[in-house]
Amino acid sequence: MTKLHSKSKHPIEPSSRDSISSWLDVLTSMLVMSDTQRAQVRDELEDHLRSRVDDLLIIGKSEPESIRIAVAELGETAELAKLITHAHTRSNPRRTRMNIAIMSVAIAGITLGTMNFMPGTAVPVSRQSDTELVKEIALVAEPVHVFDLDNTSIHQVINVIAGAFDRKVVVSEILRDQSFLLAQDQLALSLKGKYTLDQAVYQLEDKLSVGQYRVEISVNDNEIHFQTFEEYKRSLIETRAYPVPIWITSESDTRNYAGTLENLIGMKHDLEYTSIQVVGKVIVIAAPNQIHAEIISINKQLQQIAINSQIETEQKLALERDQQEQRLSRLRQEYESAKTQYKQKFKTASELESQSAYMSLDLSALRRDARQSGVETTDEIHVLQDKMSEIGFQIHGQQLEVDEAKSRFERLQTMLLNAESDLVFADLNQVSQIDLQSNEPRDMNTISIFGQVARHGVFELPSNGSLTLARLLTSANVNNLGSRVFLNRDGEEQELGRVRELMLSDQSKFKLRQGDEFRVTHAN
Amino acid sequence: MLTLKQDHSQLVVLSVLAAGPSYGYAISKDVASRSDGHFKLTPSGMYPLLTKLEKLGLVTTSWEEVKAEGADPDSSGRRRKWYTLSAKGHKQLARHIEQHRQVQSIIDGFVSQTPESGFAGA
Repeated sequence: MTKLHSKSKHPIEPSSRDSISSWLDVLTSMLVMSDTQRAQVRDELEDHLRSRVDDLLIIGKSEPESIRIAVAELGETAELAKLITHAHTRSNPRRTRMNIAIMSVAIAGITLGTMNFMPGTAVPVSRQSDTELVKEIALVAEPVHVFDLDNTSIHQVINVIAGAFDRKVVVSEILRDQSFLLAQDQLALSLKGKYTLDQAVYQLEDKLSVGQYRVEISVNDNEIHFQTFEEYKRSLIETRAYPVPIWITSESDTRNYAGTLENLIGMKHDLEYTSIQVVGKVIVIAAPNQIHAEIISINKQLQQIAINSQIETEQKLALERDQQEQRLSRLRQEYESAKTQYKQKFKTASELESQSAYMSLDLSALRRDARQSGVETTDEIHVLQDKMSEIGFQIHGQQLEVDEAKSRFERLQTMLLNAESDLVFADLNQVSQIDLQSNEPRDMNTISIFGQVARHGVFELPSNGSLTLARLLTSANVNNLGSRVFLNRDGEEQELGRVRELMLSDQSKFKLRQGDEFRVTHAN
Repeated sequence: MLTLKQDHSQLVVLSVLAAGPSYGYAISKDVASRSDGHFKLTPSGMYPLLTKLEKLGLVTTSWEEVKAEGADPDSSGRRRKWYTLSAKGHKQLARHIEQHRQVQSIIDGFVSQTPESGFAGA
């Protein structure tokens, strides 16, 4: 293949340059690496995108469509950034396969060569005058050493590499039992030239990458660690406990949730080294970190959904509560107005009746005087009788108005009680009835009500507000407004009054205290 | 279309580069073209792989400035990263090919044993 310059007939317009640049800005912001590496990755991907867009334009796609396709083909941005970052920073465990039996036979005839490089005598690259090498160090930020090992046993090569990069060699016990050490002495490797630790270890991998027996070589800041694949996989396992989402309450639902989680994770990951167990109300998971990351991501999403749902519910409840409060407020105003009107009508009717009674007394006196004068009637008597007749009509009319006002007042009173009751039960967090049969401790923040009420029992005092007597009586749904109410507070019982009076008086705002016990009895 | 597994990807990319230097987009086109569209080397698989090959010294890289046709000669073009198979890469490819042939030969030994050839009756 020859090196060709791209000669597009469809140079990309400034607008597309902007959108491609924007996407590249997003991607490069996600890369975790040096500025130089980031700029190089950006340049390379930009070339890829523009080359692809050029090709798509040639086959007749529109410019926006070409850019959309080209970017989509690069895959999910965050995932791509993660993979590229990982590739640039990789100094992770490596996997290799080794069949000791095969190697033992294969290497039987190998003659050990001369080792020109002893452990601890690696030449640090800083001693080299090679400017290209210095540039490479600056670019990858990894130490590089120069080796000159010719047909040297793996055992010695490992020691040389470990000495050069100041790492300790650790071989797992299981691997020792599996004759790994023996194999090291029998295998030989040549290592010449400059190598980073990654590259040097790769040479080891390459030499051992034959057969079925798997050895994992992992590198960290202190060690080069040799272990079996099984040990390596198990070393990656972490055990963590996860709470189940708040809407899951039963044990069977928790088990179902754990099963669902396992199925979902299993779609993407090998679950051979993963165990998902339900312990009470938590799920305990033993798994490699990447699976934990997946579960944490799922949990975060579920948590966000739960939070959003809770916010929506709270907003809905708050709105409903506001509307109920407004209705209640209007009802209270109407109730107060009806109450005043009823009182006025009643007062007017009483005054007319009093006036009529006085006139009746006056009429009796006038008739007595007339009889004593020997006359049957007088003009005065006629006038008074006419007035009494007129007042009689007025009393009759007023009585009808009183009855009407009383009826309206009582209807509004009932509506107000019901509305108060609705408001109390609208917010379940404020007052919740507790099962009488349960053995609730006495020091709970509760009050109780018994006797002639439809809903007797123990009520929890609201945590974020106070409970008034009126609300308790409406919550308990008192049957008879004439019933008498007794309060036992701190061991002393006192009568508070009748329900109707309590509801209409200032006592309706009477604040309840923890431990209060109310008893409601018949009217008589 | 088949998406290449990692082991195969390395062999395929090294093989493409054995024919001459190339760059990311051209490599992906070459893979699709030479496999008659059966293989797809995704960018999210290819670029990390190329980085790995570079870090392992199996390929060397160089940069070139590329300009679109009709672009201002004085303006700066975009940068293209070229990959060239190193001597170490050639050796690695040879080993890969050898291993591949061994595995292929072993697998062929299984799949070619039809009932007519005596496998079932053996």
